[in-house]
Amino acid sequence: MSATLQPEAPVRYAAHQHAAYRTGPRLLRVAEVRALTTEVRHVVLVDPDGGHLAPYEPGAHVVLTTDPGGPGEKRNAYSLTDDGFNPRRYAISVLRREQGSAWVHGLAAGDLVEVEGPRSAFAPRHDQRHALLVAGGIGVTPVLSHARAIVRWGGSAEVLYSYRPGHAAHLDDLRALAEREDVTLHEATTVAATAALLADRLADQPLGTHAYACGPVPLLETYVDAARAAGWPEHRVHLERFTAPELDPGVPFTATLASTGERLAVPPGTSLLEALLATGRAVPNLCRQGVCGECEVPVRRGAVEHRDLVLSDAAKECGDRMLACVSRAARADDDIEVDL
Amino acid sequence: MTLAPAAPTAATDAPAFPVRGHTARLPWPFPDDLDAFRYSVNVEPARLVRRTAAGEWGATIVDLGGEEYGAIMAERRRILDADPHRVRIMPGMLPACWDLLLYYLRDLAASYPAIMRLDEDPRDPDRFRWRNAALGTDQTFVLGDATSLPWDPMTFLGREVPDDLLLVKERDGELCFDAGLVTFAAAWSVSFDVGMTMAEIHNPVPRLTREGITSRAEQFLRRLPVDQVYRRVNWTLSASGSRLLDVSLEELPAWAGDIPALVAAEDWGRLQLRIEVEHFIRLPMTGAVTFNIRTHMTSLEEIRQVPAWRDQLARVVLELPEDLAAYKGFLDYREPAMAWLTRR
Amino acid sequence: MTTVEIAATGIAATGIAATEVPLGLPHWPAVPEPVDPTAATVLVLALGGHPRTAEVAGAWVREAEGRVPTRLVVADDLATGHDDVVAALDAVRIGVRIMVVGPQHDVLLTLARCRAHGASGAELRAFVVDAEGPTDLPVYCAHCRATHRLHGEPGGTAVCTGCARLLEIHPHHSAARGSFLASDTGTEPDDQVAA
Repeated sequence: MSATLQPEAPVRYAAHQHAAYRTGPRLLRVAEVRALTTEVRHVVLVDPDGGHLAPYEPGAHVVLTTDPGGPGEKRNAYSLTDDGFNPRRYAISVLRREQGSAWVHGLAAGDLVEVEGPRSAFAPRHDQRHALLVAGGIGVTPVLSHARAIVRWGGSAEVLYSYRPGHAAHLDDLRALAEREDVTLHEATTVAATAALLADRLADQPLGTHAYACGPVPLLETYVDAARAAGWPEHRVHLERFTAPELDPGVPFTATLASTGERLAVPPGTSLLEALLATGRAVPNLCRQGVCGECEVPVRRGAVEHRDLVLSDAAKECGDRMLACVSRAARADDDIEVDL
Repeated sequence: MTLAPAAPTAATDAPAFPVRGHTARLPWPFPDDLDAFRYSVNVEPARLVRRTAAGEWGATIVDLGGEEYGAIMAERRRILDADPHRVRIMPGMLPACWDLLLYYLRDLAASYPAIMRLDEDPRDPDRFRWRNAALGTDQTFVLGDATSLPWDPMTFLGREVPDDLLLVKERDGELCFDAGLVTFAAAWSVSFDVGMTMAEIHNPVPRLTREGITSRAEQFLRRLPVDQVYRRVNWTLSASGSRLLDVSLEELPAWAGDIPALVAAEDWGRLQLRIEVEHFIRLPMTGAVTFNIRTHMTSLEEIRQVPAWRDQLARVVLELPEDLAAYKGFLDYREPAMAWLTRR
Repeated sequence: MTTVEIAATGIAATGIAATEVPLGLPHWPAVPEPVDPTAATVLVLALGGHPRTAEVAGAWVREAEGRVPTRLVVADDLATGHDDVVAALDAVRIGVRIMVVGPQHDVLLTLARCRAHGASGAELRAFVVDAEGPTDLPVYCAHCRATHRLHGEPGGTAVCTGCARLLEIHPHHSAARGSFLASDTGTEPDDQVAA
């Protein structure tokens, strides 16, 4: 490769060489659709060529593009229900709630779906000595993933499942896991019973336990309050709401280029860096996460909301520079003049 | 982030003789225009090919070391056999070690298809067969099944690659160095440091915490995405006046006398520039991040043959502030050593 | 070795922020910290025979027992107290705050044992009766790869009881191990004594 290398053309190879580490948007094929309850469908996705899929941490989710090209096009996050170990399939269980999930319910075997991820946002603590897993309704999906991973690696767990009778997705799976000595399942079917069970189980966990909950907001509030009342330190109390938080897209603003007077519109979800690069300006950049400091640009005028981890508080206060990849105007529709 | 991926070096300053092998592969740690070194989070994407004044490096995540591979691995295995304390895995880190093993074996098979091969059984996706013709390894194993390998998965990998292997995971908001296999440490002890937070470990480095580098490095690792691999190059003058890679704290009594003897004899050509290439990969199954370190050595005698390197190393070493030079261990002798290096 | 069970009579107060046992070099509080008001139960581990140990442990127990179930485990030394400490750690439930008092050597190793049992910094409080100057410390010798009880202080020296080398005790402490790192000074122990 050295013989053909030109000084102006740096050679950079793809980071991951094996297909099992692909997590970017790609098409997967629906292998199976099965009704778990009247409102929940289990959808199994596979690589169209029968290949590997990226492993994932328990509690991870994938992002599906629903109704692509249609009026309801949207990106929805769904928790994966398997343990994430060397997978050949991605399984999700989807509650019919709005347009996106209704579209998923309409899928049939053989359909192709655009999938991004998996992404990890609700991972277990690697050194947990025991886990208390709390599921409310369709919040059972990441909890099942955690329980399966714990069983695979020889850990122990107590699972608390709160559901409406007749609407309990994966109850059979949890009951099957609970036949093992190291997994206990507690079931609750009313709000009062759930609260009592939470208080009871949170008060009786051995040292080194971590607790994880996924479910509707009232259940999560009860869980957090009960954990606090039982003296749990915050770092042991993990939770996930049904939808993973997206990166805050920020406010729309404009950037004026001091050299030319040109004004760039920067809509929400687009960074100043992207807007500058789109005009053909070669702004050096690397991490695009506000960590490396590479894309620092001088600021002449305008209040900046600094969202980076590089500039010191004093530098942020001074306001004469910003990191174009993450920082934005402080207020919607403000103008920032950059010295470029 | 001072070492952004700029265009690779053009070899304008031709070496005095045609360099091959070791020197041609060497990951020279300084960009062309660098005259003053400070600690910084100088990360760049992995697998970016960099030209140096003597050759090029960086196309692969694992650098086997060409004709030196066998000798390096013999030394690695000798140390592991003699000292079980060079591997330490904290509770709960075994899944991450499997994650690491599988990632690396797949990467190696793709990077070195002529000598390395990983067969994945289509009927049983968890069953693998690893063959490494260079070392004569032929091992079938079941992913996640500790009884299917002769060693734990981290040790198995450590006996196949020259890199020191380190895994970092978050606990209570702190990044923790919770598993490691290290035989080529520069005056530190893997057995002692495994289980510590990164903040605890880096406590004694001057300017590292004071200038906010650790927290930025930590933030970088914390946010490392799954779809990118990054690397960083670090350097010092080795504590040994030979190619000896194992200058671990454990073996201090064996090498502590090397540099004083070398200084007394003014045998500066034997001084070694020690270059460490670190690779950061977020492993997908466990979220653990690698901090793997491949150590390279080159002597001042070798560096002297490459004029661009000779002049740049002298500038960087002599310019370094006293606290950093003292930390790197060469404050007392850097002037005569660099005078020797640049003497025409 | 005695174990005292004390019944709960009250409920936790609120208002004081929890402080973590510092990592890196141990940073000992000058006075015993108060009982964490968010604790659901308290386990006090009183180590060694120093009179100050009994005093601090007693004060903690009196402060805690009025509010939450409180248990005191007294261990005259680590070896004889080992089983009782382990049994107490096996018995506690999340919500506990573990408060350790005694000499540095015993406290550091006991904190490490608590961590190995799953306790985190937020659940641990410690007070040592010998915070100032050289004292007995758990020291990990890099050369014999073992932890010894050596008299010294970080930055100072001590003779290794395992390999007889004169060691430099690094200002480098592992909370997971409970020990300080030490390595060869390159000088003979006798030279130092003569000097």
